[in-house]
Amino acid sequence: MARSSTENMITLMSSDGEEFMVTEKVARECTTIRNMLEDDCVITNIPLPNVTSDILSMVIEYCMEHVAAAEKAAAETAEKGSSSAPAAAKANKDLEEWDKAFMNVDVYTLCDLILAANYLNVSGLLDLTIQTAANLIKGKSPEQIRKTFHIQNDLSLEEEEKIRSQTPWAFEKSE
Amino acid sequence: MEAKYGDLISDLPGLVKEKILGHLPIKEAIRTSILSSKWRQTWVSMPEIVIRNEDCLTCTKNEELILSTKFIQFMDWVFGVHNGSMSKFSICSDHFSSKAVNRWILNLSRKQVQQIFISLDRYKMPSGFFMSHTLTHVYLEKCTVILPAKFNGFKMLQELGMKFCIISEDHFEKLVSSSPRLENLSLELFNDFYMMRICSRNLLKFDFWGEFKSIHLDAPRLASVCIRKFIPTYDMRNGSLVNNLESLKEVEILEINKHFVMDLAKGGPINKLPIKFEKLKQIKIEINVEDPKEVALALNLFRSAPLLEHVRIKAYSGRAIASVVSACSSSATTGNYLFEYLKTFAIFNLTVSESVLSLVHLVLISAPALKKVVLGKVDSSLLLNRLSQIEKLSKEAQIIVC
Repeated sequence: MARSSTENMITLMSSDGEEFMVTEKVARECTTIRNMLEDDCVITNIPLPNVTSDILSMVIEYCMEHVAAAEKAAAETAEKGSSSAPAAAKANKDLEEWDKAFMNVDVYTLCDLILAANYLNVSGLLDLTIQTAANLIKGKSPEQIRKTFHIQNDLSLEEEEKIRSQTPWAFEKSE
Repeated sequence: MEAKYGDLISDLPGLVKEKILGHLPIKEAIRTSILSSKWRQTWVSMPEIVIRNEDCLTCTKNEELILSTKFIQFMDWVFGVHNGSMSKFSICSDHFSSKAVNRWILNLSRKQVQQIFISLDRYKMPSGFFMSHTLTHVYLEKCTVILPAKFNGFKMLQELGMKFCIISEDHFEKLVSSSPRLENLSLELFNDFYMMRICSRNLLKFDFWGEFKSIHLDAPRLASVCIRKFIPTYDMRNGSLVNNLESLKEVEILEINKHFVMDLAKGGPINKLPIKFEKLKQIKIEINVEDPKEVALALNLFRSAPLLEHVRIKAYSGRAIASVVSACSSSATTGNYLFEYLKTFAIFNLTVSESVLSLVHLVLISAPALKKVVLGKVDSSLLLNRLSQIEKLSKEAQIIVC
């Protein structure tokens, strides 16, 4: 991460008061912050009362990784005139692998990340976390889903039966 | 831990929960209504409905028919209960009756649908589709498109893609010209056009793969054009195809394949193009280096593009073109450099030959800003040796072989 350039640094402050110094480029990955910077370009210190330090550090880690990957791809394109397809495919695959490893978190962290990505408007991270949550639901029975996400079923038996009877096909066992 | 956190997912903002459901097969998305009271109504305002082939078919062949009937009933119910706008509807399957899909599409026009993706074999787009005035993105595959008599256009449409669709020339022309906001048009057509007419005020990107005998482009804002034809079919009776390039004068990126190059080389005067491409920065072209007309066309194209930065040539033959090249290089020395802004020049599929050497030679002596020359699939170091003897105009220029 050692960069000798004169890039602007921005301080992001989490809800629990921890400060994170990031380059402007990384901060701009968050559309919410980008809009703040565009409204007021001298801003250098941004409090984020909705995001805790452990989640914010993860969001920053994600943004840094994706900025670095984009920079690398741009540099390669500039060098060769156009990006070579196999190299670009490999870089994409590497980033996908990184994303996959990054998503190896418990459901609480996942939900916090979804909230943070939604609040900071990091579209890539929001898509990634939402897809991960969907994957945890996919192919599971309602009972399994409740267990995974600690959802309390507060529907009465009658209500549940009513929902099932409206769309019996949706609840048929597909096996 | 659990006591502290509890059930986080149920309390996510509604829009986020709806997005999660959008990533599930429709059946499973609706099944979440039974999780708890907080989930009961979530799917009802889901803004995206995507129906994939596997959503309706999970069993053996004999059950297919029964299942698709059940699925259709289910989807009818979904459309009846769904409440709110539906920004995206996507269906990709071979197992539905057109009647059912027609019903759903009619529903969509009332739901302010913005994006429609349809891939259905031989499906005729229903009139209800053409009434969806909120559409911004349309992608159709394997469909038949017949405009209703009183088609008023898609006023919001920005992106239109058609692959293996059947549409008549007149209807295509009308569809494009009555979509005033259209910016992105991509076509991979099934039927051949005799005359392809595109009249579009705001079109920025045009990507074509298919057949036409001749093309008429009236799109003053076009910035990126890619034309790939299956076979060369230029019809000489229709006048100069090169004149048609006039409507490409705002283009920044141009890609043309060998069959279209053949057409262009066949028609019209080749020693001079009628216009300058004042904004053209990138050219990707396939040429037969054996055909002097094609080489001349390519060089004229380069000469008409004063800001050209990147050239990528796919050469598919290689004999002497030295005479043409030298003619051009002598004319280049009279005025400004031929490749004033050229930064990269790439040529692929080449065999080492005099023609290739002269082409690269020309680039090296007439491109002051040149940074890279990329030579693809070169099997001999002979070429490099010869090239290294040429005095390059740009000191920074590097020759890369890959």
